[in-house]
Amino acid sequence: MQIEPLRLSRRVALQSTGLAVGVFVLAGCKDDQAGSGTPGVVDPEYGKTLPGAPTVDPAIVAALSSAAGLVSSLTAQYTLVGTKFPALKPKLAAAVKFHAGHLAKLQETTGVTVPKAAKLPAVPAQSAAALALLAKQEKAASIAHAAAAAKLSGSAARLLAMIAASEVQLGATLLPTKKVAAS
Amino acid sequence: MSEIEALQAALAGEHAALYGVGVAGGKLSGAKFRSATETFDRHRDNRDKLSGLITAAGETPVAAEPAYDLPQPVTNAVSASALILGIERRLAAAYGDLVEAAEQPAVRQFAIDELIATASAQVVWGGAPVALPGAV
Repeated sequence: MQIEPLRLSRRVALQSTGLAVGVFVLAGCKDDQAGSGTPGVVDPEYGKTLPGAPTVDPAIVAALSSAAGLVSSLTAQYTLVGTKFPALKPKLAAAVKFHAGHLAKLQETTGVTVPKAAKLPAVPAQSAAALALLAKQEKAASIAHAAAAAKLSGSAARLLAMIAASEVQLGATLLPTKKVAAS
Repeated sequence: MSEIEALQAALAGEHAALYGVGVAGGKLSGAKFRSATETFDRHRDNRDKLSGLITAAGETPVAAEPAYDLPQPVTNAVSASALILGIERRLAAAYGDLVEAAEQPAVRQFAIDELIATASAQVVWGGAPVALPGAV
């Protein structure tokens, strides 16, 4: 037995239950009736529903937009630190790249917008203090995103939780190492 | 994937983790051994919590396998650390699935906490950050 029961279990579970669930859902869905199904996005110009564009729960849009704002602020802070301390840019590169990916992923949801970034804290005079500031902001963002994830469900909750997990990792790598593997 | 299927998959992962971390611990010493012990304790707690959640849902928790094939031989501290890192990465995916499948707030909160804990552990065990820990 491989030490990969997760993949095996998932695959087996999907194979064994996927069809049955699909049949059940289809049997319970009558989309030929007037007023049935998820309404589409309303075209603001014509006031008609656009076919094929499902609406997204406003609460999800609000939560993801808020997260996008926070990620955007973090990215801007990284840019400020990198500008002030060019030697840190290689160390910051992964975080900048990952946060850009987070932002893109958040914006895949219809209706998500990026709020204007709040005023950023000044970059400290010492590079070590600047890194500590970024680590502190990553931690705060992780806490906020984890709390937001807990209020959602499904793929939106998962996305915010994964972003929170990434921020924990990024914050940890900005501070002096605690790796046991390197000790 | 339903909530119960995701709970069972996470539990199967925790069973495997306990086996793997136990094996890895035999090749570690000092600070690494203490970290492995803490890791083992966390996975044991998770196993118990998951079993409780599954039982509370009226289902039977999946049992541990008698033994597991390791992805590579564990012969020294480096391979032992790599094994634990691999375990944490796989568990992150299981908890990511559980976050998505969770229907009860308590289950979702537990899954979020453990996804973050496994992501943090990956860095501790020598892993580099990734864009989305727990993605499949």
